[in-house]
Amino acid sequence: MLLDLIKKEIAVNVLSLRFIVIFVLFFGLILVSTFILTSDYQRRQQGYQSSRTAHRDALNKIESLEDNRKQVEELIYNQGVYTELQPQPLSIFVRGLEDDLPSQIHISRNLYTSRFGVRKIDEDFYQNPFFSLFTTPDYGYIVNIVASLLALLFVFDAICGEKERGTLKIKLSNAVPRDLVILSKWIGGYLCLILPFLVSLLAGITYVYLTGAVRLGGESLDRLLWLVAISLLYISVFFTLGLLISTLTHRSSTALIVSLFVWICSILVIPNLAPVIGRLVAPVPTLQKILAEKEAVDRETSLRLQRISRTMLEYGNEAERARERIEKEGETRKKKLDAFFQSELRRQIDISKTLSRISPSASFRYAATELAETGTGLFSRFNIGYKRFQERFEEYAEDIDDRLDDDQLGNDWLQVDELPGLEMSPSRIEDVIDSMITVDLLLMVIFNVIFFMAAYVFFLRYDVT
Amino acid sequence: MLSLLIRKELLDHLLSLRFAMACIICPAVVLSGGVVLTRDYKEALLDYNSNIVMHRNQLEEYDNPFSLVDDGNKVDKPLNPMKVFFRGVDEEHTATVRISAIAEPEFQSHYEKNPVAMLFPIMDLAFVAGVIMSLLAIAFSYDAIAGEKEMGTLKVTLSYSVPRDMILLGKWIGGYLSLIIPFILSILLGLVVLLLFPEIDLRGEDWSSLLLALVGVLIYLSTIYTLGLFVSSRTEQASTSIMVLLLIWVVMVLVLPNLSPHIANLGSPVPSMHSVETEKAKIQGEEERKFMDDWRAWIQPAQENNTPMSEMVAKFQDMQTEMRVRIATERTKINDQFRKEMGAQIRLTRLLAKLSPTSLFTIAVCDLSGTGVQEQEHFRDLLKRYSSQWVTYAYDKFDPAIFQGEAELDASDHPVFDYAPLTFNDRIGETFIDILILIGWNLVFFMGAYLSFMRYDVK
Repeated sequence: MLLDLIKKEIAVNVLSLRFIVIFVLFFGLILVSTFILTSDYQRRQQGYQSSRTAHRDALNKIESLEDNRKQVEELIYNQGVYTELQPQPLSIFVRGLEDDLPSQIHISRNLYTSRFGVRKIDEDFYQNPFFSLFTTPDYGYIVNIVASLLALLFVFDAICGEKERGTLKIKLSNAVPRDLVILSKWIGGYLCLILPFLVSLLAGITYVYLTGAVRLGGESLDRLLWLVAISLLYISVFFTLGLLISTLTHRSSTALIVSLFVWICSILVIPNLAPVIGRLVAPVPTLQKILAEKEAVDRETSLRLQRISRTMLEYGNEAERARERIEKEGETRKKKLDAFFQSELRRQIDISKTLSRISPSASFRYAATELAETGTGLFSRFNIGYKRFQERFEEYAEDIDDRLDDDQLGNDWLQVDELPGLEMSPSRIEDVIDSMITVDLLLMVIFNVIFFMAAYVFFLRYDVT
Repeated sequence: MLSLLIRKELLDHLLSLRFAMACIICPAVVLSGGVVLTRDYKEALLDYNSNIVMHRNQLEEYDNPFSLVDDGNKVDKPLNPMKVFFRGVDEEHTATVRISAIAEPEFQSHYEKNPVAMLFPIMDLAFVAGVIMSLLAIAFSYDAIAGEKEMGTLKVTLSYSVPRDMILLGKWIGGYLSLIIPFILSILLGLVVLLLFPEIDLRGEDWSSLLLALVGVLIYLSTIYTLGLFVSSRTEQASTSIMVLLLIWVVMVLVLPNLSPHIANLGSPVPSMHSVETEKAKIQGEEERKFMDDWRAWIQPAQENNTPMSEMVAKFQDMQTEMRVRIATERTKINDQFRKEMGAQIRLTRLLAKLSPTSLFTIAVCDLSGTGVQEQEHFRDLLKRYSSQWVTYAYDKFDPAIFQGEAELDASDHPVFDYAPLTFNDRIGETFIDILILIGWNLVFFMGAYLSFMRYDVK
């Protein structure tokens, strides 16, 4: 019986106009998007490689210099150390925050003031400014925005439309249990929705595979499969929601308007507002304020140091110790400010994320970007890595300078491979999946179950006449 | 007669569910978006003000002319209150740029911020109108003709002596009015809320560009609405009409605008950042090395001959200035070449964007409000000019007395970065053509709807 019902649903759906529309949209969108983003990825990868080679060559040139002093001058004071950020292979599918991070970072020491500084490239100058005006139409965007809309459209009149046409009455006048009807509607409709989706996605992945831009195997394949799985779950959330709306309404035009309303709220409004509410609930002082406070600490420290040098000159060693103590105090206070800022920021990020998860769209976005390694995790790992890179370079440069002054630098002190660089702790797929399953995946499953249960309950008491 | 028809349409719409939805969505998104963006603006303004003080203090604390050369001056981009309405191409309200004699203007960026918001689009007026309101416009018009046919009321209406063109016009006016009334009211409400924030100081020019942008929004919405009317008069069933319309909507609003820069990037490629940067770095490295060699060759005999300090400083000054100017000239040449190629790409993007009313509209309002590409380029131009001023200034400050500890560096006479945004007339630029194109789309769709409705089978 169920099989017959499902067959009927599939037959009806496949022959409908909306099936063609959905097929055309999915196929066109996913193919165009993978085509464009693959070539974009290849270009970024090329840029990454050539820039890496260029910086490597520059280092080798420094290594081949004869004089130690000249080497140090070139390496630490002139050229500095560059590190590139490798483009993430899965960014072809989910671009995420990758564009908001620099593609290379640099640090060097100033010859005259011996302060450490970074040379910043105006990366926006090299980019078509319209990129930042519009969103990247990647696979994640297509699923998040387009597929959810299409899922709702596919199903909005599943129940109420049949009621309007009068076929539901006829169907139920036979000995068909209502639960089988709704189950078959879900299964038949969902299959018809994801079939064009999966076919188009397969075509897209095949294209990526054929171009050889990304080696899909091992971990990246696992990530991709998880990404597909979570997309299917996400589409099903909206599909079930549409079914629920259809059982709640009696006219398909009402169902359509309600579906559009729900879609606008859950895709466009809630995910946008949640970070804002997060910022209201957990305000974080701006970085400028922290910088200003740090400056104040610096100024106070230098005032106290001056006082010491004036009053305690005759005490010699004791003054030296007092100086050290004051400097250390200043450093600790600055570190505390940093830590305070970091912890507040983390709290705010967590609250924003939690709030936005009212909408499955946000859950999907987080899960998809984490799986593609282009999400908030990448951002924080970059921040940690960047800070560590700066610290390590400073230590390294101080050490080299000291050794140069003491004439203890050997002939082959410069080991290009051992230079400090940006080291980001890798995101392990197990961790991503663990945290995803416990939160985002679970939430989507819960949404699915709740919506289906509600649709079931409402359909049982649906007035079919 | 027409007024009667309009009245009927208005009443029909006012009592419908979609009008209720519009009345919830419009104020909700406009106000929440407004509050968010105003808050952002307020925070950015505080940052900007404290930055200015901080950077001035930093400059005053310099005691060595080398600091002027190497660390330079940090200038801040003044805020544009229009960003509250149309965010434009720069996500940040303000930017800090380091101007030094040794490098190009360097945009200071930090990554210690909440990245969650960056995952989602910003809800400015361009987004609200471009995406949300356009969807509502479709929801308002998809069943205007086909729906009435299905209900059978169209037949009844036409059995009276009502000309068809009147019906269509009545539908257009009535439906459009009921679509934009909630929107306009929410905008007005938003503006009232905005007036409560004295920080947002709109100048006369801003008001006129805001007004013009709002007119653009209304024309844009009417384009989409008329499109809905057209499709509705081409189809027999409301369900077919909505399917076709949503297909068009997805392509027009969600796909084409986002694809246009990518297609332009493929169609008119520019050299990669790394190749250009490497070229510039090479020239800089060569010049600096040459300077070092020349300087060492000059300074050793000079020191042996007990040349006076003032002469050495003057020589250093001359040689450095010469080298920096040479580097800057070469760099400008390379940059200009790159900008020429990027200019071609930007022009292609603009051309492609004209295919979809949404991208056309988005780009036009951003240009108009001074948050678009033109303004960005203008800012870069001003920075470049200031940067070359700074080179001369920084080396002029090389006073032998400072190096001998007899005088202190006084940088209070440093050149000030004077940022004047583009004027209203400059901003308008292409906008008029864009608005004309939108009006053209309106006419085409309305004519299409008219022709189709004339031969529409109402039975």
